[in-house]
Amino acid sequence: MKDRIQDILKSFFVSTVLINVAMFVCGSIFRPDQRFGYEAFLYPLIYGFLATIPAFFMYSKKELTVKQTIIREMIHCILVVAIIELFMFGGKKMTGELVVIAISVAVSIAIVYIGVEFIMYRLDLKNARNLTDKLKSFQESIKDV
Amino acid sequence: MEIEICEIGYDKKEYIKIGCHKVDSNVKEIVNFIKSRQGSIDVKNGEMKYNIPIVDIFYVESVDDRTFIYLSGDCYETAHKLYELEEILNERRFIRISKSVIVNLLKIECVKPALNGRYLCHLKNGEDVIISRKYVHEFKEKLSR
Repeated sequence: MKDRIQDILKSFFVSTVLINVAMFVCGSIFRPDQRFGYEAFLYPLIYGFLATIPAFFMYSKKELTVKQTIIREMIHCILVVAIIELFMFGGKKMTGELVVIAISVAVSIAIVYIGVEFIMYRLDLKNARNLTDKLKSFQESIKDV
Repeated sequence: MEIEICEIGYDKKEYIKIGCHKVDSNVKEIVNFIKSRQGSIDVKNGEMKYNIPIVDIFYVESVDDRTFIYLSGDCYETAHKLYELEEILNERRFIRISKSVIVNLLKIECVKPALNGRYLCHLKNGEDVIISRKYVHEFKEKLSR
C-alpha cells in the first residue's frame, strides 16, 4: 500500500507539472488575451488531484498481464477525461465554441496522460538501471563456480 | 592427471581451476561433483530422477501446486513445495520475486522496467521473469545488503 501511495503521489506531481504546461499551450492558442487572478495557481493542483482519483479505484492486487495493463490504462485515461470534463463543463450549456474547447481539453488530457506515463516509465528505467548496477556489484562480490 | 593444490591468503577468494585438453564427460563429472558439494536438489523429468546442483538453477516456479526448476535450457519437476525451497535457497543468493517464482540472483543479466510499476529480470539464458510490485522493495533490499 505504501508503494501504491508513493506511485500515486509521484503521478500527482508529474500530472500537475504537465497540466501546467498544457494549460499554457492551450491558453496561448485559444485565449491568448485571457487574464487570471491568483486562483489560477490552484487549477493545476485541482486537475492533478482529479486526475489521481481513478488511481485509488483502479488499483488491483492481482498481477495483470501486459494486455490487461494496457486495457486498464486506457480505461483509466477515459475516466480521467470524463472527470475533468465533468468538472469543467458540467451543468453548462454546450455551445459550438465550448464543444471545440471540450474536445481540445480531452486531447490535451490524453497527451498529458501519455506524458505522465512516459515520465513514469523513464523513472522506472532509471530505477531498473540502478538495480542492474547493484546486481552487478553483488554478482562481482560472489563469483560463481 | 596431476593434482595441484596451493594455499592462498584469506584476502583472496577460494577457487578450483581445471586444466584440460577438452571438456569431456570426465571433466563435466568432476565439475558436477564440485557443484553438488555446494548443495543439490532431487528432481525428476518424466520417470527419470536426477540430483541437480543448486548453483545451476536459474529460477523455480510454482504452477498449479506443482513446482518446476528451470536450468539454462532444461526444466525439471520437484516434489518440494515453493515455500520449502524458499527456505533452502534463501541463504544461497536466491530471492522470491513473485507469488510463484524464486530467482537465482547470480543468473540475472539485467533488470528492465515492465508496465504497472513492475520490473522484469532478464536472465542469462535469455528468459524473462517478472518481479511483482509487492516484491520489488525486498529485491532492492537484498541487493543493498
